[in-house]
Amino acid sequence: MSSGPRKKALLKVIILGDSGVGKTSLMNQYVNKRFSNQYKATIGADFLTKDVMIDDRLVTMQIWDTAGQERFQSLGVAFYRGADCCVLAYDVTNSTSFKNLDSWRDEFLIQANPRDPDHFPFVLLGNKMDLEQNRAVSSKRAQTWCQSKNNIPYFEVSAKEALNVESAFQAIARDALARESQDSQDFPDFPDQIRLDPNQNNRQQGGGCNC
Amino acid sequence: MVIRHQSVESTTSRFSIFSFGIDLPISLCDDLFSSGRVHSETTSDDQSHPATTSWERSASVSGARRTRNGSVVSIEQDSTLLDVDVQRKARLVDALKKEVKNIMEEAVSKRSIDLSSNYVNALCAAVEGCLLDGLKKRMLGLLGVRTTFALLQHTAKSFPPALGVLQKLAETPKDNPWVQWCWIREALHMRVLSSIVHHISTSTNIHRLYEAHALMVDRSKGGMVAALLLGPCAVSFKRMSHEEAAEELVRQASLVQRSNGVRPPLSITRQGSSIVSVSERSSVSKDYIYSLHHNFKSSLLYGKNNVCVADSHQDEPTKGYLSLHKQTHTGLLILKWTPNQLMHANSQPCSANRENEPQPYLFKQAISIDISQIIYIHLHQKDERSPSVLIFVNAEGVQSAPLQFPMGQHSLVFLSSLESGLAPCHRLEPPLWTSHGKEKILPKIRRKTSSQGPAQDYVFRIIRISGSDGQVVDTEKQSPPNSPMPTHCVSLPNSPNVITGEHVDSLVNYQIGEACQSMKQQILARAFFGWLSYVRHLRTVRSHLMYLVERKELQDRGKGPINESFWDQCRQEKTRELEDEFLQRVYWSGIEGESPKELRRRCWPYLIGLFSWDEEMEPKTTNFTEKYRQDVEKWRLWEAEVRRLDEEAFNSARERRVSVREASITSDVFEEENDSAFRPQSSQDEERLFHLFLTNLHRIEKDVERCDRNLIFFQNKENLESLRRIMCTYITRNLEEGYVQGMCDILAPLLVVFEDEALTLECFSLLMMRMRENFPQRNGMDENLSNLRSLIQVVDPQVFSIFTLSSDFTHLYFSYRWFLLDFKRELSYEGTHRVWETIWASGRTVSPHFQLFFALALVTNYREVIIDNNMDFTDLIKFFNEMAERHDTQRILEGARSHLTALQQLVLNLP
Repeated sequence: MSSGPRKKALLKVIILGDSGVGKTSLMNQYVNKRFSNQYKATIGADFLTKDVMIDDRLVTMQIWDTAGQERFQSLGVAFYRGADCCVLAYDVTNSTSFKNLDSWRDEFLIQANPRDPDHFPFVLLGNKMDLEQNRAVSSKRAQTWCQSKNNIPYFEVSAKEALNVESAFQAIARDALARESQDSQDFPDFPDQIRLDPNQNNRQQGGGCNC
Repeated sequence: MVIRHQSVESTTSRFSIFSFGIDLPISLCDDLFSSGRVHSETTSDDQSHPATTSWERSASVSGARRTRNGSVVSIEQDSTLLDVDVQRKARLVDALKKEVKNIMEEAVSKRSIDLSSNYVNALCAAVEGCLLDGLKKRMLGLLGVRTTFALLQHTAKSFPPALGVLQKLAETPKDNPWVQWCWIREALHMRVLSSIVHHISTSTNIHRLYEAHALMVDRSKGGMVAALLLGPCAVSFKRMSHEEAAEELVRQASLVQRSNGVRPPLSITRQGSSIVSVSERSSVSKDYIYSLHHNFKSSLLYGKNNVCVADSHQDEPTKGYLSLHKQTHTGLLILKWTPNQLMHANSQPCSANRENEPQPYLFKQAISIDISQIIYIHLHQKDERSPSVLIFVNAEGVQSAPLQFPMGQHSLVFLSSLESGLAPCHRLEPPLWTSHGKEKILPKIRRKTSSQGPAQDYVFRIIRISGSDGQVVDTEKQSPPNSPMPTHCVSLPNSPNVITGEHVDSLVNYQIGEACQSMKQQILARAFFGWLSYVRHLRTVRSHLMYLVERKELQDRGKGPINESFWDQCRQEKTRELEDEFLQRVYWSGIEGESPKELRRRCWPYLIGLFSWDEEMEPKTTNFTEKYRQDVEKWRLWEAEVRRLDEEAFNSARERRVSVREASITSDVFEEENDSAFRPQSSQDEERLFHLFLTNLHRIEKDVERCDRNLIFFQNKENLESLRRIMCTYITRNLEEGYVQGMCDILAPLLVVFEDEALTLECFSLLMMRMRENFPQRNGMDENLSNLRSLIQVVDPQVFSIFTLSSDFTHLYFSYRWFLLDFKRELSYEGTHRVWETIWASGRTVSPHFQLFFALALVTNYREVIIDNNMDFTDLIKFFNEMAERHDTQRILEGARSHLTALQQLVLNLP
């Protein structure tokens, strides 16, 4: 606890995906451990928070649930800001929701404008895996897509049956956290600081001697 | 040693560890002492850590050398011998201390702490860390999972409270399998955590549980863990759901603001200063107590608690707080006495909601005396060791209740404060004497009435030092007590410091001149800033808000809501006057009648403007139904086509999957969806329209399926089907616009009222003319947000300043859903209906933007919650989402109407 100053104990996670893929259900299953078929379509945005222990570190996850219709994407800029991880969700029984993942990912990167878009942590969740008989997108297809996007972690989950939801969100928190610590190394507080490297100086001097 | 004990005392009193009535064994007390010491050092300075740990170490190592009262004979102070174990233990205990401190600080400000809050989690984690340290492998449970649950099970065998926790855990489902410390949380909740930990650390077989180097085995540190937990175990915890959290906020704010009532609406008048004063309102009692503090209006000259006043109602004299204030501007001296109970009731907010509130009675008891009205002050004191009594007598000879000071020199101190407060214009006669030690003493009494024994009685007179009189002309005489009021009072001879007139005059004049100057400046500055903000607000009003309201005001004639008989009259006579009255009554009181739903079904089409006032429903309604039927037939064809395509796609997907499974050669990653190139016989444009319909149909079905299913009306599949049909028909008529999420929410309350698909669709279409402006890619929403922003700025600058901390519009995004759906998601169906008809009636009378005023009223209704909690962007979104369907619609409607009226008056009076 007393070791080292903590930079942030809050992880902001955004769930994106087509309407009806189960974003609200996923969030509620993870935070409140309940499923209801009475969730209304999300208008605007809402979020829930949950405290989790990740490797002896206590963090608060703030999970944002957004409207699924692409027309509401323009609101994103207000909500995506400062996100630590983006969860893309699609419905395994709906191939359109899978095809739209690219546009959700691109839109997020444009609006959130993270410092290092290529390595920003995304996680893909394929929801409704309990409806295997209606599956329209195979796991392999989803995995291939993930590989093509810098190896995004992929989980098949079911918010209704609470399958894999817990482990998926733990992985999400872990990813965001790992990214955060790496981030603070990549980008120190003063990015333009001048490093006086003694080795470099020696080499230069050595070069001078050779002349 | 002396110093050590002092530091311990200060820390223990801070945590109030000794006040829980638990007998601690001597060894534990020792540990407490050492914990106190460590704490005071760690909080003050991190640099002192090595010294601390070395002391700790020597304390633990040389345990045998401890004396009975816990003092330590430290022999060597070798700071270089830092043991790894000691450091680790210190770290664990420090972490625990930090969390305990956090939770105790949190407990001060809240009545109960949410059990699932971060504070509790962090504390539990710290406790877990302490308990895990050096726990023997055998105790770690199967597979070496790092959990202390086994420890609890072991303790439960010999310690009943632990068994209680175990049973409680068995009752409630384990909420989080990978958070192992849920038993700690439960024990904390049951307030037995400290005793369990204490039991563990003092149990005789502790060496069977722990390694020798473990924290819990350490006599000093192990006991400290239990002792530290005493404080948190006294705090009350509560499990709160998210919704409760929002309501708790509202409740807390309403407690504080109960006496305040409804906030006055838009109250800019032409007097600029009112803008400033509005935000300074507060409850009476709170104000009263604040007035007792030293503040910019008055300086506190003297304050003493437990001054008694004999009360005629009670035998026992009441104790209270006596204070002497000097008002900065007027120089008036005010003496106040407040009963202790009243002070107490206000210092503890939670006690304010006790049912038998003593405040009105106590308020009557409070005394306030203007010293300028006082001529004589009587002081009675038997001797130096007994309590003294002060009585004030005003110009009319009326005596104040006797104020009884506790024994000692308190009355003298009070008199000297009074004397210095009276300067420079007045003074006490006789003046107090200054002794050699520069302390004031009571004047020596020259003559004593022998009959009264040793009692000392003084009479002081407050006299004005005036320039013209110059000399005080009283002669000396000590008046006997209990005698009738002497007509003429006598001072002592040779009063040492009577200043002669001229000198005082110049001094006084100079000081008064200074004071006047600074007062003048302050008044000017206030007036200027008042004017400045007034002008700024006027500019906002002029540029943004002026056009939101009509100039014609609407009076509430108090005729009540629309009922059946009035509506029947309206339909018979159809006069303009009746139409005006109809709109007014809807605006002020709504539509009620015997069956509001039936009546709304009849009124709403006229209110929305589907029919003109003098028109009958009939011929049009038949046309609507006929047109509706035709349109449904049209899209039914498309729908059948969509179903066919869907099925085909589904089957092909299944086949592909089967074939993939069989052959497992081809990758289906690059599969192509061949959903185009269908219907080759149709023209290109029709093809495009069909695809638009296809996409929209899927969207509509997704939303209809989950539209207000908690409502009985929509649990009926038939009604859901109606909703779907109407929406599909609407989309068919407006294919280019398409379905946007939220439309279902606007349609559903209409369908509930009309229960007629064709009529619902017509009304919905009319409504959407206005509502679609708020949907994405149009300007309505931005206009609404910007207008709401201006309104808040003018009406409630304090809330506005909180909203503008982040300098963009995002702060108002909590109201996005409000405007998109006209508050449909924020209110119950009954509330929605009521608000909607007010919005429609307002649109035809006073303002087409009533939704702005309702939104404003929603914000101002919770202004205390917002201000007290200094809510940011996320807090506001969360708060209002959690408050959805919990608002007091009637109250907010009233607020909205008065905000609107106030703006109208402001606009009418614009200079």
